Amino acid sequence: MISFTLWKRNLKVCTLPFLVIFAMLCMYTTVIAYMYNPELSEMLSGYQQALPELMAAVGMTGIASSLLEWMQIYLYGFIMLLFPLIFILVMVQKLLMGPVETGTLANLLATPNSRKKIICTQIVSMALWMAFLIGLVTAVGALSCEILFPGELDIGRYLALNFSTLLLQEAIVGIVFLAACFASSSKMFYLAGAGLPVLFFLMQMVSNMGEKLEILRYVNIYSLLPVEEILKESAYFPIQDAVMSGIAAALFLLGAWQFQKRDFSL
Amino acid sequence: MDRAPVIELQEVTKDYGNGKGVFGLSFAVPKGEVFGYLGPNGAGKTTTIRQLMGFIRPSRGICRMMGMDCFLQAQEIQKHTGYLAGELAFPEDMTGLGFLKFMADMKGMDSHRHMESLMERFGLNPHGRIKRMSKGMKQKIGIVNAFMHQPEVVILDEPTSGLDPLMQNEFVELVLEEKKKGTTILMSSHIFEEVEKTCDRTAIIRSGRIATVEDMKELAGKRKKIYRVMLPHAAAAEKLLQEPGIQPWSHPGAKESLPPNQAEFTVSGSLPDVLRKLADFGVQDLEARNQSMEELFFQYYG
Repeated sequence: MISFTLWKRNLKVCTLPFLVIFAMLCMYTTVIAYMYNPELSEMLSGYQQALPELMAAVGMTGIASSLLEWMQIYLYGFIMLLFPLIFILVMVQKLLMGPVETGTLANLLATPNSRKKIICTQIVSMALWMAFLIGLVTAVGALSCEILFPGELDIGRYLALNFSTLLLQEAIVGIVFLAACFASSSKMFYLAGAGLPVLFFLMQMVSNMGEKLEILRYVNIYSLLPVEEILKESAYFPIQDAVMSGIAAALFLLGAWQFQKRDFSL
Repeated sequence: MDRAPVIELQEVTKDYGNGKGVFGLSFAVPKGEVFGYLGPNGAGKTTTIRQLMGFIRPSRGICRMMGMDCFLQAQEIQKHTGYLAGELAFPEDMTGLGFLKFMADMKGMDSHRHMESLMERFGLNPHGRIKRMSKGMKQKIGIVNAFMHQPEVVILDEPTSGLDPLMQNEFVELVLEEKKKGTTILMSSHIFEEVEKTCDRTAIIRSGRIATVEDMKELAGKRKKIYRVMLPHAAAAEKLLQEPGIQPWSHPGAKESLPPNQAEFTVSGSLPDVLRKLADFGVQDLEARNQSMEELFFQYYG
């Protein structure tokens, strides 16, 4: 159901942006892991008392009583959300929006491969790239924690946290992908594909800052990351995972459907 | 089976609003025919081709190739179809060879032999990135791509744009060879000469509508001989054009106006009589030519 030739090409096209974002995430992950110590944790919670809004805005709330909580507070509120978004935008641009806008898609459509096969290949490529990114960062994170603080990291829950993060990012890929399937110019694509996730992200920052704006949490995809459930309640597959998977699948299906029926002025 | 048209349009309409688009297009191309598709810029040539390729869906009407719906059965049609886009867009990071090999894989080709012979034929040096290639070089890649899997039908959108005269001739040769093999070709163009050399029939499209479909052989038979003479002075030229058996010649697309002492005409009477008359008028120079395809077609262009 997918074209292996096109898949290989997709692999090549995204390698450079992947390496850049992967390197950034590795750097942050190892630095944050390296910085872990209970004393610093106290100092940072001092910051949280002094500047509660600012720290909350970037998702840094709570006191880290373990290495896992430390990693969650300082990585999964900002860095692990925003950097993958940059990669998603570049990836979808390269694999879908670019070919539509520049017209190179005509070459693919003029081969005996159905639109369905082509779009399925792009979906699989995108989903795999994201899995690859989060998977490798998880491995790097776990490894650096093990080296720096042997036995300190709760690996099981760390994996659960990253798995949920992956599902969240796949849903974001779905949003950006859907935007590319409907847009015929980069302008529209960026407006919807980048605008919406960034808006969600800003909403997340604002709603973290005050109780009055907490309502914004309920219409925000980033709120679906089940931090509490995994860290506090030790749920390995919280209900949010299913919701995020469902959202991602629905967005991909809707995009693929639109891709198959639309006109391409190539 | 062979008698069924390979390409068939029935009342195909794609309305983009503001009078843009194509309206009620109907024509059929039988197997083995080279069909020209001629028209000024913006007439709807590319819109027609996009519908044949299944990139866009007609708002109304039927668009079929090899008996299959161009949009719904595009995948099946593409197995037997070669395509050259009017505006070539190749992935710029690839080399020419890298792209052609990629396309060969996408088309499921087992052998690269025909691809290589085409590259050689057109003097295509496929190494080096497409980004740095000239328009003509890209056009050659497009031509190789369209023909390399030896398709039964080829759709070409302005195939010789960017090619030098030598390569234009090579291309005409290729089309004639393919015609001998029985390949069906639809070729859009605005170059009369190229259409004249290759096509069996030609449709003229104007403002989204087919103005006429002409048989090229018949059309060639309709051509007139045009004579241009230079006489000693303007009065003689004027007088000559009033003689019986001489018809002044002009056509709507004429670009140049003649000097006053020259005249262009066609002969309706006997040629020896006219020649004698010319001698009496003291003719200084005589030039005879065939009416060009362009002049024949100009009535449809307007």
